[in-house]
Amino acid sequence: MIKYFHFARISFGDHLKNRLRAFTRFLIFMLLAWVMIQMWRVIYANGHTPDGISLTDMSWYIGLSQLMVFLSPRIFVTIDDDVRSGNIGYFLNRPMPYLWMRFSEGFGALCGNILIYFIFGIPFLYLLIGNVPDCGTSVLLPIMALLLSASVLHLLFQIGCGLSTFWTNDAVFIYHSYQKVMILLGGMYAPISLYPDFFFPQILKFLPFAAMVGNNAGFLLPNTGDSFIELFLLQLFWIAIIVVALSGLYQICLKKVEVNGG
Amino acid sequence: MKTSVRVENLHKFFKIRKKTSLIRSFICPEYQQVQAVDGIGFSLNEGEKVAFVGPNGAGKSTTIKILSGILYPDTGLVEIGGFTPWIDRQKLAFQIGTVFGQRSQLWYHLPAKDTFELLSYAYEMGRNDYKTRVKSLVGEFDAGEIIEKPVRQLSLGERMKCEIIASLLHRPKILFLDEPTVGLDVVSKGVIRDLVKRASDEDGTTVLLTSHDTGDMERVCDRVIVIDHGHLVMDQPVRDLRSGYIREKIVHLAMKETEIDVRMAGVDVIEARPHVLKIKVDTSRTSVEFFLQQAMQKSALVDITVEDPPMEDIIKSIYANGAGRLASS
Repeated sequence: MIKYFHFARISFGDHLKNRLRAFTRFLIFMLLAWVMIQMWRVIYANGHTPDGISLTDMSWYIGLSQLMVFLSPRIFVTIDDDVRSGNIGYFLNRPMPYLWMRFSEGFGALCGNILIYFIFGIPFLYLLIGNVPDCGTSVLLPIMALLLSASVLHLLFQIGCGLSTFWTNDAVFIYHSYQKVMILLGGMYAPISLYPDFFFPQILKFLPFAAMVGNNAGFLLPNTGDSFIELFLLQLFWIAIIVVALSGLYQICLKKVEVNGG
Repeated sequence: MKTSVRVENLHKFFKIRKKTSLIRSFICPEYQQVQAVDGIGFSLNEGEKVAFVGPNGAGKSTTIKILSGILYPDTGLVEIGGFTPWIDRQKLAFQIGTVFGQRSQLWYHLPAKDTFELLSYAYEMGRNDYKTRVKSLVGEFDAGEIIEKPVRQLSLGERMKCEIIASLLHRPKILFLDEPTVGLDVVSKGVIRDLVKRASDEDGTTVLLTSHDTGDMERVCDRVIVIDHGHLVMDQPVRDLRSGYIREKIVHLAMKETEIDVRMAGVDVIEARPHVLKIKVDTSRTSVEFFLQQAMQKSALVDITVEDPPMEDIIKSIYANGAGRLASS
């Protein structure tokens, strides 16, 4: 395991060195969070107030959901590039599986983002919203822990999208499709509890998309009845499932590696 | 001597999508199979340095990629240090080092020393062992300054030195080099060749080297395997190539007469200037001795030089004969 730690460590340092990339990404986060929170301000101002959810809590929910998406580095782009260029082949004769080498690197970069977004992102949300959540600041700590494991899950999904290049020759559209499903079924723009019944919100809560987005930020909403342990275990369950699925997929991909020419 | 690499009846096909109409290609794409490796077999002994040469598309790189565990073959047997490369990838990785001249195993934005450190963890080297090894290799390759710079700032020759250090770090028993001198200038080529040869001689590392540059073959290797169209065309010691394969000699004559007539069977004039002649003698038709006797009868000779043709011409001739043989079969 120590080798994976060192790959993550080097990637962490390398990620933080690229300050321009980190800054522009953070700017986009601020812009999106501002737009989405403004949208809910308009909805509340027009009297459409969801039952029992204050504007402050809704704004924190939206801001933290946006933040989750920005924590994971775009690892699918790297894998997509490796597969298309054939570079993946040149990583296969190393004494560690390519898949987990890239995961370690992604996790290192994720830790870099955690540092940036927890130090600057959460204070930014506080300044934007103007208030702490109704249930106090103590709720932010378990949410930050849930966001970390949610980002790991998001990272694993991205790796799956990256590997899809073996069949599609382009992971970008697969990732975009995945992202739309995550936005819709995960509750990115509105809590799942507000979804109409035909969406079966009680089932959506147990899907990996909600485990990545809605459940975590939803932890601060009143009357959800979720416990931290339940939400965390649900994330671990999905992480385990995705890890097994990726391992199987990776074995199939290995047989499809083709590196023509010198 | 112990066998280090054993390859038997290796076959590899690539599936290439045929170009058809847009709709047909979308609904029912058609593929054609291209045979990259066709029944190759050879073995390498421990510590042997073998050149693996052939024209573009001959299947050299594909074979090396199968041997190093990158590609799956369609059929055939490969055994390297008791492992089957595509099955025992992780275990084999500790036994082999690879350098692909057109690809890099170094992290582009990081100094090479950071890559060495990462690789040392990947190869589970002890800290003291790693420090001693990297110090020794960096000293040997005279790379003290270059390993401090980010890889993107290195010249091709400097990068290649770092690539070879990276591949030798974990003391591999077998080193696969795929065109390690491609794109390098004459001086850098010489340095890289000497370093590979010395590293192999010191550690007893088996080397399998592909290259289009016959200089790599002559300076580094003891044996040459020539392949073409996926077939093995020739396998013999490098020193026997000149004496055994080619039946031509290049003769330079400096003479008293301004010009002489040397027309005879098997003799071609390559270059004729006043008092100087450069002749190609086909020794299967005319011996050099006979030719020189004839020349001496026509003019007093001031100087005589007899050379083998350049190695490049020898290899060209092998390719041509190999292709001819394939065509006739």
